[in-house]
Amino acid sequence: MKPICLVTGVGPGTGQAIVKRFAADYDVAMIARNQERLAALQAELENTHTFVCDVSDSTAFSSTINQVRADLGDPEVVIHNAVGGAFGDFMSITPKTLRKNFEVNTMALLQLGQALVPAMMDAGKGVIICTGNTSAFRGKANFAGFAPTKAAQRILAESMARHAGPKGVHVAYVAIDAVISVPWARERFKDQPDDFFCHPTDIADHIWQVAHQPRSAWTFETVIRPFGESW
Amino acid sequence: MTKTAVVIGVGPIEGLGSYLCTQAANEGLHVVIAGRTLQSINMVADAIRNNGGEATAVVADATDESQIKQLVNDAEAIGPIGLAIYNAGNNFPGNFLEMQPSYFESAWRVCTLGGFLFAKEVIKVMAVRKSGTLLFTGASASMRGKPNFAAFTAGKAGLRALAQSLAREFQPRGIHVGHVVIDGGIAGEKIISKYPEFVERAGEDGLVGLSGIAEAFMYLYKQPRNAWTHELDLRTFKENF
Repeated sequence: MKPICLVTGVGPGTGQAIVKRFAADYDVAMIARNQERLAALQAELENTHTFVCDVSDSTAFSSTINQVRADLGDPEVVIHNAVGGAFGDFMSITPKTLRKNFEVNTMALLQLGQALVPAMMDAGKGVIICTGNTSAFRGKANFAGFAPTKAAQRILAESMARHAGPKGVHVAYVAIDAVISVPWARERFKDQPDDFFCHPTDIADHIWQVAHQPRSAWTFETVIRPFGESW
Repeated sequence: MTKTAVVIGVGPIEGLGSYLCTQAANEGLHVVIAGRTLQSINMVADAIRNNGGEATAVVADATDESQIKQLVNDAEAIGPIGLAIYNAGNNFPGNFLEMQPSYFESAWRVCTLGGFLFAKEVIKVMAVRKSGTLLFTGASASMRGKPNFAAFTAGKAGLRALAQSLAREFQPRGIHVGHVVIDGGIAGEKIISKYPEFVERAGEDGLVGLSGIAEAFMYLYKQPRNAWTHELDLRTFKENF
């Protein structure tokens, strides 16, 4: 029997690449709002399972997590890739925007941790990886509705890592400092060369590496960026 | 022509420098092993050759500019340097009020200045080819100061700042610069023989593993250039951080 991997935020970019990377060795529970996309992926890839859910709805998310455990078992690897984002300075965003993004980015991570880490601790092993970006480290003017939630998410992950690490559960934060190569971004930055972008498959490879580090040498935080990126 | 890996700061077989060399050899690189003690680096080189790998031992002091120039020349004569690792630097604990300036300076020489000398020679040859990986060994002292560690912290923080400056300057020119922060005691001969009480207090799995650290270095070496990591933190799962 394969171990279970749960991935939230299975979109056409990073989420899908993560699912593909893990599906060879894991049974992958895919969580996203878009039923059609998940169904298509499930048809394409063996060992993938569709769970349609909006992770900002804590009641629905709770029953989805329970459903994953009932159908597949306790996940050994959890990747929180779902993300709520918005552009806008602090004068123009609505409180609702910030609150909604906080639900998706931070509260959903807490919910995943509370629901799934106890079984990992009992097993003495498990992995929780959260994907982030540079908004976890700095608040730019037009990211007022987003950056605070990513910073909170990163700090929550750090608290989780310090608590769960000694019990064998590896919590890690992977930040991507780049424009990710997905169709809409390629269209928006169409004058940029291929080297400008970070590729979802490379991000997925990195997450795989972090998820499989030996426990005598675990990484909590890494940033990946294209070589030419200014930072 | 086989690419080379230059690793400076290699001591006993059961030490980080040695593990870095062994894993670099496993990646198919000809490893140029640099350290101050010929007997130690010869043992590492012999172990690699006995395992079917390629290795050359070169005695070098990381703080001596002419020896570093010679080391980089020697390596380039064997093959283009694909990977360079600055692993030199001992811990320099000491009571601040009793500390001699010469002691503080010696910590800075091996922890910071040596990194500058090594990086300069290595980057010169890598920049021409617009490729190569330059990695530095960091410590928790790279990130924060603690009582009795003024000299070591100043040196390691300096090295980290150097590495970050080089990353921002040379990554756009094709050279991957990485800094690995090892947060905790390393499970190598140095600590195990010199600080038995520390090892005992750390308990089982309380030290950062040599293989895991070396794997992380090799992982950075192999990252595709569209997804480079500059800094990596490593600790044993049991670490209270």
